[in-house]
Amino acid sequence: MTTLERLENWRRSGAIREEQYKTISALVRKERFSVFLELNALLYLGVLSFVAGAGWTVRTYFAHLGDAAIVIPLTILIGASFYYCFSRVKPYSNLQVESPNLGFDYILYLGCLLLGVELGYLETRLHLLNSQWDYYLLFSALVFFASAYRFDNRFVLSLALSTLAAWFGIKTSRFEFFELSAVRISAIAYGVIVIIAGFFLQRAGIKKHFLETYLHIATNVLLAALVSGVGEKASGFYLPIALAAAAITFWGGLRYRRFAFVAYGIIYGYIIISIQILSARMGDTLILTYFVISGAIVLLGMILLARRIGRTA
Amino acid sequence: MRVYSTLEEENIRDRNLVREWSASGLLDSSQSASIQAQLQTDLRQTNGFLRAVFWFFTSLISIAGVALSAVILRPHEHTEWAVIFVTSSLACWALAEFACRKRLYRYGIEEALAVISVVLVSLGVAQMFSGSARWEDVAGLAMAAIGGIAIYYRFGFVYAAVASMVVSAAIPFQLDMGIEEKRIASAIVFTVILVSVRQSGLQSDSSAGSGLAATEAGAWLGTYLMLNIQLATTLFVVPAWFFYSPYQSSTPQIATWFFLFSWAMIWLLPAAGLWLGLAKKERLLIDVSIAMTLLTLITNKRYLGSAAHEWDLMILGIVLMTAAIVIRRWLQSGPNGERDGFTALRLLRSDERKLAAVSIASSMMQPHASSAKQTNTPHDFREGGGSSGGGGATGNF
Repeated sequence: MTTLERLENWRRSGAIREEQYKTISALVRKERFSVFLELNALLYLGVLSFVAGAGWTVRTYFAHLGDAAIVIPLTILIGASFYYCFSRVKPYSNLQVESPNLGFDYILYLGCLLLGVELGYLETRLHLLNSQWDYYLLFSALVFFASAYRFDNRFVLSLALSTLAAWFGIKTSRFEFFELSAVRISAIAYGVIVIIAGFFLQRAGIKKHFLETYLHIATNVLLAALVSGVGEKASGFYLPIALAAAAITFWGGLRYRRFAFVAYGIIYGYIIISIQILSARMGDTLILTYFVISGAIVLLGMILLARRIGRTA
Repeated sequence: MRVYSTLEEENIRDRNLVREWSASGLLDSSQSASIQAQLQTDLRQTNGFLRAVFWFFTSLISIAGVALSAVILRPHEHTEWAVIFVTSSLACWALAEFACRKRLYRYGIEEALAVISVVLVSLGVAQMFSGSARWEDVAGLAMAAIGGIAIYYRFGFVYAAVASMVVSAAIPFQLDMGIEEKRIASAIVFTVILVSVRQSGLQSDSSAGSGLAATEAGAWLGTYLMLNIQLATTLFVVPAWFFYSPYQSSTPQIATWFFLFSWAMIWLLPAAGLWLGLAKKERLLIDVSIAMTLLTLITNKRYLGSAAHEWDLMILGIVLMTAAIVIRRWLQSGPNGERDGFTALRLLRSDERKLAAVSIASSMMQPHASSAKQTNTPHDFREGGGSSGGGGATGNF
């Protein structure tokens, strides 16, 4: 039976009203077809492409063009982007605010990314902060956070969080455990601060819908940092903390039915335990036996868990 | 014969739709609950994230199990390896069937078992043909292609059908032919599948879980990728010989006729795909055609032999943003903000969830250098502030 036939049956039986039938059947028949996602994808890729090209052009030609020829157009573009956003933004609300139009979010994103390009260029050329240059990252992050909250923009929030991570010395683009060990304490501090900030703002009722962005980024940074600590010789300190963090992530995901966090808890927890067990000298047979048995235990545990929670999401 | 009945597949399809309509405010919660009660099946499903974890651990156990057998049995001959692979494959397939009997549906476990079963039997068949290096690869790939189709028909996993198509198209690359013949043979494989999918005419609402739209979109993309000869060197730093036959002694040259044919096709394929996609309102085909158009815009300069400039990306960005804004305005200026049923408005809640997921993922593409790696004030200005998702406010970003 097709979906349309079922809709017709539900209408006849009174399960749905006539106007609901008309609206939904138009979607099923594709009489109404949204290209919302496709237009968003074009805008997103357009912004990324433009900023990447701007950065590349500036890098290649800054010696020939001179500072003014680079700074003035960038400043004009940034100013125009922010002017557009401030002139059209709806009044601030702690709740989620719908964007005035499709391009609004991306114009703000463009302005923020270009601000990053300009600040980087200015510091490179003028050395205003010299060895303290990394405070540009902090300044950028603060501007991005303010913009994300004022304009209710998740892309800019992610930009702010990744820029703040860079200020802490973390590269979120690659979770390289060995590289992470060099900045482990910073990464742990970053993860904890971002999680606390996310929960604080959520409890204060400020943009509650931003919480998941905070938690996804911070949880991964925190757990990756702790896992890198477990892998080292003197891991006695990190092991219980890492296990506790994985357990809390798992429990929180289960409690609030956010199953991505359940998955993080299981995967990171398994890695932590495996590192600890496999650090002892073992033959191939024992290692492979470990993977078969431990994998089976996790699988059985998850089957029992999945039966308990049912198919929800 | 499918392990799941048509009615079960239809119930699951419609239950997912009802959930989506309810989340989008088209149905109220009581209506949604009562309709979903009518669509109950005894199949067990799980959340997408847990499904991925099930997939991972089932694969881990299976691979470790096969490796353990090999360590214990210590095979020396190819036939011994073949026996281990084929026996393990049969065991995995039997377990996948058992999991389905236990009413698991897209649970990760039965999926991983079925896929690994096909990988193992392909390795086993390749071992049987190990006397000839060339036929070893061909036999292995052919077995994988047949296995993928078997998974699709038995379990209904659409990605297995798409993977089978890709593996089939990889077979010509194992044969001793010229570059043009290989690419054309591979493109013909994709095209034959594309035509057969369109001919079957089964992309209607009634074929729940058929996945023919995904297969068709994959075939369009595959044909395009085979015929765009500038793609690999434009997007990746790939040496010219990378995609070519190991049996050729030197880096081959592209014939002029094939070069011109390729250039014509990189424009024709996206245009035809977009036209068909828009005509039938097939989202996957529209999306794939947009992706092909972008790739054409990126690679066209290479075909023309023009020098690439740093500002090309800026121009591309302006073109994309302008196109999006013009299309939105054009759609919105139509009656009720629509033209021929197309609208720029968000109709379903799932679109917002997808955008939120992309925004979170964008933080993973952090272009700026982290402060920890910079010990001195940087003096070399380097771009990167736009590849995505980062502020780039470093002296060396």
